[in-house]
Amino acid sequence: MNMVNDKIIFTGPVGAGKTTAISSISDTPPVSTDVACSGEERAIKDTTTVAMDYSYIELDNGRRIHLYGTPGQQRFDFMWDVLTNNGLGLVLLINNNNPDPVGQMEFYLDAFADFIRKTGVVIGITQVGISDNATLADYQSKLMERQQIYPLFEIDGRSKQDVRIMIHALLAVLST
Amino acid sequence: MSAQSLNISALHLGETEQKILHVAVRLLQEDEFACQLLGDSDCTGHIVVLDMDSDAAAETLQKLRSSQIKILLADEQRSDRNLVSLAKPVHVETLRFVLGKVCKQLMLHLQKTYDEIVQPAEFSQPTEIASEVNDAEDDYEEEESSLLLVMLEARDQKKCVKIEEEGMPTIYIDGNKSTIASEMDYEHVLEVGLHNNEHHLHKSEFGEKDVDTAADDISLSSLDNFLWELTLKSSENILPDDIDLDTPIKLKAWPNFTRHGFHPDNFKIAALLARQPNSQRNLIEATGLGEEVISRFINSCYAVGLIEVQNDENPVEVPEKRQISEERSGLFRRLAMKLGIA
Ligand SMILES: Nc1nc2c(ncn2[C@@H]2O[C@H](COP(=O)(O)OP(=O)(O)OP(=O)(O)O)[C@@H](O)[C@H]2O)c(=O)[nH]1
Ligand SMILES: [Mg+2]
Repeated sequence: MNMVNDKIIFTGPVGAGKTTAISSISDTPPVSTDVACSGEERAIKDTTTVAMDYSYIELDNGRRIHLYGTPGQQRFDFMWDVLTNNGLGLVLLINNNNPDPVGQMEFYLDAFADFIRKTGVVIGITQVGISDNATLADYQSKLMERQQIYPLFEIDGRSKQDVRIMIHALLAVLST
Repeated sequence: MSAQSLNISALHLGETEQKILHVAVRLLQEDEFACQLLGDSDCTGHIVVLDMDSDAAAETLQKLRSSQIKILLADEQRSDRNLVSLAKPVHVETLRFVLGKVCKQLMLHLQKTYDEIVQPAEFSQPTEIASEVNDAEDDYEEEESSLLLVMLEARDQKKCVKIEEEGMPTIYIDGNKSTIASEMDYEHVLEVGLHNNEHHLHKSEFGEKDVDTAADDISLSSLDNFLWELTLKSSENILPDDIDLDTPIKLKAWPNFTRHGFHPDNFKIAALLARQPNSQRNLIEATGLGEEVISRFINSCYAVGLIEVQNDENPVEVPEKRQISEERSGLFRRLAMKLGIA
């Protein structure tokens, strides 16, 4: 039994809410490698995760589920394979407030296609109320067009309940 | 031609309507209705389906015999002897329902007069079948109407309908914008939908403008979200006749579970259906959930247009069955418990 295999990966573009979502359900504050943003990211947010987020949930038998967040910036995409290796499943977060968020969803679904096929994915759209770049129906139609029936939710990354519901859907997918 | 075989002409139909008609006729044939579609521009059918949006349609309509039953696909409602009009876009189920009624009536009529007739044009008596069909439909609505059915009809036919009852704030349903509005709050409207039998609801159509005016100071919500929740809570069955416990059904997309509609059991059903088409009976077996839980979920998905009957003509790929070890499923259970969602 390899404990480090028990991990759930959170991914998505800069500012999607990965670090926030991990903190909202984990037992300890995430070990983050957030640094002050530079360059174009500065327009989006103050800090960004440069290597990865890490935290865990401890189960009643002492076993840990590890939560990893991939860095949002694409120049770190070499980390993605390492992080997903032997993972349980994927949480994809998309910030609706970014330009072309539906395109971003497609990008990540393609980038993680192998991992998703072997495990499962759940998609959370954050900041839906803030911008009307896309509606949930737009994401849904894109998934229908791609014939991918993946759990899709509108969530607030800061809400523990929303993140829990997403993880629950992921577990349902992984259990069937 | 035997007495029981009915011919259907399709005139001036667009590509989509043509396909819908084909499917509706095929479904009727599967239900053992002896009917068949005639070839292009053959206008001699007992029943004629005519798209009124085409320029030539009005002229064609004039030329048809009065004894032929005309089903007009038109934005504008018309009524006349032996004529039924259906609002566009017409759905397979609607067309099938109407064609089925017409076929039934026509067959009875044909059986009575078979000996005397050679062609449909020579019916010995003028027929009033279409109006009988309309009556039958009206009766159906009177008896079966519920807030849920009225909402589905408004949405499918893109109609604006208001629901009134003395002493109750009006419920406005805008089938075009897919919204509902009322001075009552969401929960109260839901209560009305769940307890139809305690109400005497009156429905009537109204202009789109009224809903805008009315909506100025009343709460609005998405019709789909409302339909989703109402069907999930109600035991009313809205599935068409061709979906029974053994029909393989397919989920078109993961339903938009709002925070209201969240229930862990439903994730199980959705996950199974997302993986491959399944019958309700299989789902009951695979999940260990009650028939009612499964049925409510399927009804909800149907209400928001996410259920499709899986027919053999375009089979979907069945994914390999995932092997989940005891240890894994134990781990998932513990995690769910820890997150307080088991
Ligand atoms: N309004 C709103 N804000 C959110 C939501 N989710 C996260 N945030 C905020 O958005 C900001 C960015 O969230 P992070 O968790 O840092 O995003 P990230 O995905 O880790 O971003 P990178 O590390 O740069 O890839 C934070 O200020 C969060 O508080 C949401 O659903 N709604
Ligand atoms: Mg981060």
